[in-house]
Amino acid sequence: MDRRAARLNRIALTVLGLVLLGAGGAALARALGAWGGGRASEPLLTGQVRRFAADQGWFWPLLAAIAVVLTLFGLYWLVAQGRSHRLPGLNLAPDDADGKTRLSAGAITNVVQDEIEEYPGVNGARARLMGTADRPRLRLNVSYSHRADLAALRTRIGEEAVPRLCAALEHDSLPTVVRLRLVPAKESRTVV
Amino acid sequence: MTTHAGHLRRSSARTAPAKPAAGGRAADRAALRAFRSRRVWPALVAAVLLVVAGALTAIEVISALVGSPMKLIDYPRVTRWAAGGGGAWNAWGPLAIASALALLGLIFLFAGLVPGRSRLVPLRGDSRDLVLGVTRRGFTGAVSAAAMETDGVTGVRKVKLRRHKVVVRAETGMRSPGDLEERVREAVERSLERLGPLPDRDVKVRIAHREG
Repeated sequence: MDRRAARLNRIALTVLGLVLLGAGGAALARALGAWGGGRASEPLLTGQVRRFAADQGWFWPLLAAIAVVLTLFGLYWLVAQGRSHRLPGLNLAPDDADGKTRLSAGAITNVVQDEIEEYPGVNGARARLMGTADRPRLRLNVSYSHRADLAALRTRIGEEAVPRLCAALEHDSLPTVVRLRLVPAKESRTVV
Repeated sequence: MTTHAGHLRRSSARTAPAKPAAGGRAADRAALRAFRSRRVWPALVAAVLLVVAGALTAIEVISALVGSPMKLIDYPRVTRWAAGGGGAWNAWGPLAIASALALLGLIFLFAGLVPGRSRLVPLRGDSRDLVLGVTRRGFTGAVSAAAMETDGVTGVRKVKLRRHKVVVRAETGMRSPGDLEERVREAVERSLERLGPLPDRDVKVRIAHREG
């Protein structure tokens, strides 16, 4: 799971919320007379404000720069929602100087999927490699029926499927997130 | 059947070392974090608003600076309005805008600070590297199955899943259920113990009599 986007969302939403709340609150306070009745009934745009903006050479370029930065940040924020940090493949450490083994992520995940699908009570499994080649992470979606024993399923995933994959990938550990989804039992799988 | 992985590398002699017992609270924290809401929807709305507002401002200001105003917004009219009587701070227009801004800010702030409901129930594990979560339906299904297995229970009307509590509404055909409530509670607690949801949940059982 991509927790980087989660942190970005939390921080950006909080900051944006504070800024909007501050601006709106200050405007409300002024309108309701917090700075005196005279200022409350002034128009939003006075000659003084317009003169200030016109006199300062930096005012409009600065405003433009802020607007551009905010737009770019907004675009980055949008794109971050869709990014999955999916790993296309892995290079295994070469033993010879010139040899190099490249594994596609599909080949790796198919092995885990097939293995977990054999476990009792499991209807289907989807595996995905995420992260970077140095620190890959595994994401598993397992759909199971009522017949599955969740405790046993956890043990087998943790003690068989993942360690085997770790060994194959030559990694000491492979952080794994498993999502278990209950689905109606598929009768056809009871008979092999 | 399970030795495919061995073909992936030449020297499969080395097996994965036993994982350090990082378990306990670190594992629980990892499990809680893994399934927490990512706040995608409020973030998308906020980001789109930011892009629209920023781009409009940038286009208008820059085009005016280089001498050929785009006027996507009819801002001479906005300026006249803001400088006139209708644009006074305490007129209804500016008041409405200020309230809308403050409200929007409050909503975003709320979305950013409140953790939000995760769609999966994290399960207690003993390693930080293996985190499991089960869907809410899967979880209530397990609870309901445990309640159904208790003698005397004819049906489970509803399982309500709260942050620290599970409320089971079971049905019985018996006129005097006796200790049925207690037995259902024990059965559900046993199943929760095996599942290990995070955080711990108290079990509350309500028995309803059904005329059969």
